[in-house]
Amino acid sequence: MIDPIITIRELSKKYYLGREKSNVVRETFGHFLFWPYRKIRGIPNDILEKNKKVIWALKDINLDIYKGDRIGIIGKNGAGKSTLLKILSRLVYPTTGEVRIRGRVTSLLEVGTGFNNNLSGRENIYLNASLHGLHREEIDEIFEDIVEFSEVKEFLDTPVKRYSSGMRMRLAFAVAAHLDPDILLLDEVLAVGDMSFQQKCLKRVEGLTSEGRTVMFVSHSMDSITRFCDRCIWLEQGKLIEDGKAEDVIASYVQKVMKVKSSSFWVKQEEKQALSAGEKPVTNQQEFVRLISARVINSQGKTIVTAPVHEQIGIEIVYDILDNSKNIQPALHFQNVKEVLAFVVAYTDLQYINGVPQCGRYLATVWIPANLLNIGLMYVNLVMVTPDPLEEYIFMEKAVSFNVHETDEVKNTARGLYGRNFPGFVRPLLTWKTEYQGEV
Amino acid sequence: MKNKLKYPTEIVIKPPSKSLNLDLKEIYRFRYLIGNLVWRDIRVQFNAMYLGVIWATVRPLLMVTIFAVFRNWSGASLHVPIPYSVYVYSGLILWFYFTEATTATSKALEKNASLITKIYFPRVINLIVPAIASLYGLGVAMFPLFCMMVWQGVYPGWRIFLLPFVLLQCMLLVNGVGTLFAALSLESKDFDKLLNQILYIGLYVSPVFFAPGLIPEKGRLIYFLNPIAGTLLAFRSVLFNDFPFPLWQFIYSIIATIVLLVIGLIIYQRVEAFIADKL
Repeated sequence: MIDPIITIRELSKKYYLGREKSNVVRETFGHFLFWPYRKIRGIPNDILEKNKKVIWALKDINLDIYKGDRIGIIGKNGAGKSTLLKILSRLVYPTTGEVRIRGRVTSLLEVGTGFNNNLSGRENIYLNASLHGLHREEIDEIFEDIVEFSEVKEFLDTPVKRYSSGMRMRLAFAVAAHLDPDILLLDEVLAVGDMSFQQKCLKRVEGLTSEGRTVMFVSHSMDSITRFCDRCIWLEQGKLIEDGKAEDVIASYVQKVMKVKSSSFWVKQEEKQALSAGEKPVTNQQEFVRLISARVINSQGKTIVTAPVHEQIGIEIVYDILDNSKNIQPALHFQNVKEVLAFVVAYTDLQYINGVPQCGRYLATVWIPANLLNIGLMYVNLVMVTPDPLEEYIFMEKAVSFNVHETDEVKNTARGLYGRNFPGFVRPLLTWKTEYQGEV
Repeated sequence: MKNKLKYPTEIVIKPPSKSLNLDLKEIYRFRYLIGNLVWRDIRVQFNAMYLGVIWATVRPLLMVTIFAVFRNWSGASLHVPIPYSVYVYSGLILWFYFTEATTATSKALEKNASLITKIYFPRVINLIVPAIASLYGLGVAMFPLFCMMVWQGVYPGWRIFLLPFVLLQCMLLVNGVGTLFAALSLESKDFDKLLNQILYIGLYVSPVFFAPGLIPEKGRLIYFLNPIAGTLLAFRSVLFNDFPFPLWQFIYSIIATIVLLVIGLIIYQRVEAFIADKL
């Protein structure tokens, strides 16, 4: 059994709400002065504590983090993500609990802290690296790498105040990225800067982790977490909700927070008639057709919340045809988060396209090819219609939904060399053919 | 890259402790940072002006001139046993060092707030740096003093070897008072004003432009409660052979320095627990 590199036990952090600034000295003196009064009147000594509104930014967190872990931390604003990183980087003290860290921690909570405008780039590199506890000889060793990474070689002796904000950021990240930490804590710093630089930063972070460094990374971008992390921690109101494989945690986070519903059951599977409270069988008035369920599945038939972009996605619908005098067929409307219709899928199964031979239960699955949809959320409306004349029998808005994400495993996606996310609903991987036609 | 420094094998993060604990090993580990921050302070201060060196000396020189002129006109006896201009100038430069460094220390936490809230390093370092960085200004201001000493024919004796010791005491006094007020001013800006007043009045009640011989015998005991009084006299004594060493006053100054340092650190430690939440 390997020892964890970070052990977090019963960690809590309390903040007081209300007064902008709590005043330790005045309160201590005041508390002391009024002690006799409280004694006579029988007022409890912890009256001050009780009068304050308290918020627990973190509550009873227990975690073990091992060497080489790449951990993403997700959660809504105010969930305690940044507080956790601040405690780990020893900027704020916990209220209770204990953290043991066996290694050298570098935290990059903000790009460009500790830069002095009046000093040159060179002096700032030394100053900034020494803030992280490095000595002159150590900085000398990494100096060249930093300069090369930051691409500011010709401005090294210019005061930093004349730098563009992009240059400052490159320099700051370059210093932080070369500090050679055992544990690197990042707080959404990669969300700034131009795309090509972001890619460069992420590559560097990736490089660090492949050398066995531990990285903890707060982000709101599910995409970058699925790409760079293998483990994910989900915090909500200071509590640890889930901790596990990045894809699993993100799947449940997406499901909960973004209200993704990858399967819907309108009729209880075992007994057709017995329905749970509030649920009604979805049938049309004349009882022509009844919807049973709809699921988003992967090629193994497993229900999935989030699908990798390079795998095919199936939508599986179960329905009962109660009257086969009309040719009722399923159809799907795909919408994005902004409720814009992306495309419609009609029923094209040649075997049953002209109507079903007999009443009964049907299971229809339609496959969306791999590398077709863009990354992001998709909502699926389920419609039961007769194609001609067009009559709508059932319309289930957002019957199911799913998320498409990018993984780092497969290099050949439609992304190409681009860093930024693509607009549009689809991002198909098409075949290019280029020929060299000679000099011009 | 090999780490030439010994990093602690295990860092334990716990709720803030109430007792005084100063991790000297950790501060020593960050010694290069202290050097860098001192250098930064000096660079920033002297680089922004062309005449930085002149400004460091012009104020004490002007004041010496004024004091000397008025004393000559009034013919007042200020009980100074050595040439007056040398006495006043040496007192003024040490006093200005004390004032500047103490003010800078008391503001150091706020000045470096962006660092303190974003990067971990022993925060006490912020409070050590100004006392060292201000020595540069004192050093610059020493040159006119040497010229004046040669001109007036006042020379140091063997006690010059005690100079580092006296300066160290002065620096620690700066650290003590500065730390105390740095911690207090986080609570309320009133303490900033209070320190300003103390330092302003201090110039006139400390033995800067008169000697304690001026004070009546009965009042002297109270007069020397001022911890910098002993330092100012000892500073003159190590520089000028003819000036007697104020042994008891200086011993009192050392004790007062230690007491102030401990009080300052205790209060600072109480505030430090919440520092990142407050700045």
